[in-house]
Amino acid sequence: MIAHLAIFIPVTSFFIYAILLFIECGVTMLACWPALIGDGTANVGENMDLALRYVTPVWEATNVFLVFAIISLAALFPVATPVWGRTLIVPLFIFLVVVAARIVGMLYVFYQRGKRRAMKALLFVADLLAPAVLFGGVVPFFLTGSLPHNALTWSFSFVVGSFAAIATIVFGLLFLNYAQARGKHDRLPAVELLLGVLFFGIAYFVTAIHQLPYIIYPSFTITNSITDPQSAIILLGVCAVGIVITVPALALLYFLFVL
Amino acid sequence: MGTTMAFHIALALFGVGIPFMISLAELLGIMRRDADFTTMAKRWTFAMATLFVVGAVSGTIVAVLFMVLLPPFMAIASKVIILPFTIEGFAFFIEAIFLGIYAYTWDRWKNPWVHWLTSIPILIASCASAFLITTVNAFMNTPQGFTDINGVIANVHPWLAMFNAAVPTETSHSILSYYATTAFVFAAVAVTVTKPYHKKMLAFSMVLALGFSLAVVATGDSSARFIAQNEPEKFAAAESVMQTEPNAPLVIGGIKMPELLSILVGGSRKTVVKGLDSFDPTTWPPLVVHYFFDLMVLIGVLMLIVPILLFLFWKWRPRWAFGKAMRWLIVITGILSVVGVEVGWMLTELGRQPYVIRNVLLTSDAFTTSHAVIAYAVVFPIAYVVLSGLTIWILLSHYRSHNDS
Repeated sequence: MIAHLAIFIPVTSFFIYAILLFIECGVTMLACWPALIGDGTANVGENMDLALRYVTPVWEATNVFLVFAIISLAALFPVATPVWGRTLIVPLFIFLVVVAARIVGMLYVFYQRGKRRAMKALLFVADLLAPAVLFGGVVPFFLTGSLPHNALTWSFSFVVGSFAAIATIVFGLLFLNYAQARGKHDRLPAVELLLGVLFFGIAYFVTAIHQLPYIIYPSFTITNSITDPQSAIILLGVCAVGIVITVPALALLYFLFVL
Repeated sequence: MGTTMAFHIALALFGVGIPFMISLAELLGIMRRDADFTTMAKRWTFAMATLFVVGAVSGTIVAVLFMVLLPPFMAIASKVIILPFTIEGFAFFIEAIFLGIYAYTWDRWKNPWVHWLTSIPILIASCASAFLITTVNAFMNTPQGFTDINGVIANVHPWLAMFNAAVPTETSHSILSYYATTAFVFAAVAVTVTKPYHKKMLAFSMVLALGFSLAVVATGDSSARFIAQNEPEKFAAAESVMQTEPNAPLVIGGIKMPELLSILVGGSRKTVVKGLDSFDPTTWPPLVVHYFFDLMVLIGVLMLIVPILLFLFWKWRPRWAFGKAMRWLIVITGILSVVGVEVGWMLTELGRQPYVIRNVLLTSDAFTTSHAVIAYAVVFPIAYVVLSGLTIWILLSHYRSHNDS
């Protein structure tokens, strides 16, 4: 029971990160797009305005979901986490480089309001690659509990990565639709966005639950790799208190800027 | 790993210091109905948000690097000292959330107090973050709260490990030094810009700088005593004490002050100070830490003298206070104060060598054996050079373009 509760925390935190990453990368990509096509003079499009209004106040909180997923995983499953670290050293490295590139682009385009086309292209590519690399290189192994061992797993990676790239564009479009309709009496875009999240959520959690009780097949199950009982209880207690404090704050943030 | 950490510390120190400066400036602006302070707080918010973004990224990279590069270290750390990281996760959430709210709601509420209140969670969370992460470093210096029998970790007490012996001295000394350093950097900025309110900004920063520097020196003294007691080999290397003896002299910058070290450590000339000869030479820290220690102390002294000098001049020789020499001195102190934080950190890290967790895990055993490490070692330093260059450029060009408005 405690082990199930424990694995639920990083898995959920990662799910929220994935959804927010899809939306943010999608919206930012679509905001950069007009500047990349044509003669490049189109600078401040409507999408750029929406991206500035909706993404910039909240994207800093988004990154924390990833950090928290990693921390809670390492805290609650201290033996299994380094195994992932060792095996996924290359995809994680590529992901970090892409994230760093994305931040450079974000800072330049959104904070500096820079106009260079090359930087927008960089941001566009990084926005497309960040979810693709994460889902192609990390998620299949994290979520299915199997480690990459042959060409077949890597081709599976490619499929999941492509799925993530498409999901990014879809979520970007869904969110922009929602943002444009906000304030009007049209509820449909909000429903569409929610259905998108629900659809992805079902696929995600079904995959995650399917692998239980294994987290890394066949040697690590949630029960044999969870940290010692006393630490587990303390950590879960801290998480409970933390969630009680954080959730209202997150609600306030999204209420002020997005909902 | 070292590059990432050095970069992250420089960012983190401003991440802790700037929210304090901003919150206080906004508070003064409201209480004294002084629009200058409000303008200052508004302008600094951009720097806070930018540095937070970069800090969040480098924090993410640090988290992944730990997992990837240091599996043997993580195997111990994630069992014993992961509690502060978990709490830090939530502090990080609160900081990111309220930073977003604070930065984008300057004109949202009629009552200025409401906006000021949103700065308080940032202030608390950033200070809590620094405290929590420093408890981990303190744990590496004075590990406790578990048993280690032939590499098998058992009997873990997460709270005991977190509130280990080095926590009070190490956290107070480092957090106060972050505040002091931020205040000095703000003072350095104040003397380089020509704003109608730059004197106000200078006075504001320097009053804080002086107060915090005093506190840094006081906590530095108790830190040194603590280290002499609990990490004698680090103390001996830092103070360059070769022989175990009473009447030990204090050596700073090559100058020898007889008996002073014994007096500082134990309050008496007869106090025996443990020298490096008491320890197995294979466990000596690199002796270069003595120079880090010297540099840190000298910068600390400078951080005390400069504000006092400025206020003396301001009172009796205003022309000197705003003269070129004084301005340069302030700018140099601002830069050196950041250097001081970095060498202070290197002192505690290198002073613990050859261990990464004192007497528990050797640094040489802590790293992964994977060859992919080389890619990390090449790319991340470069990525950080690019990232820091960009950060500085963004801050400079932002403030330049908003200078006349």
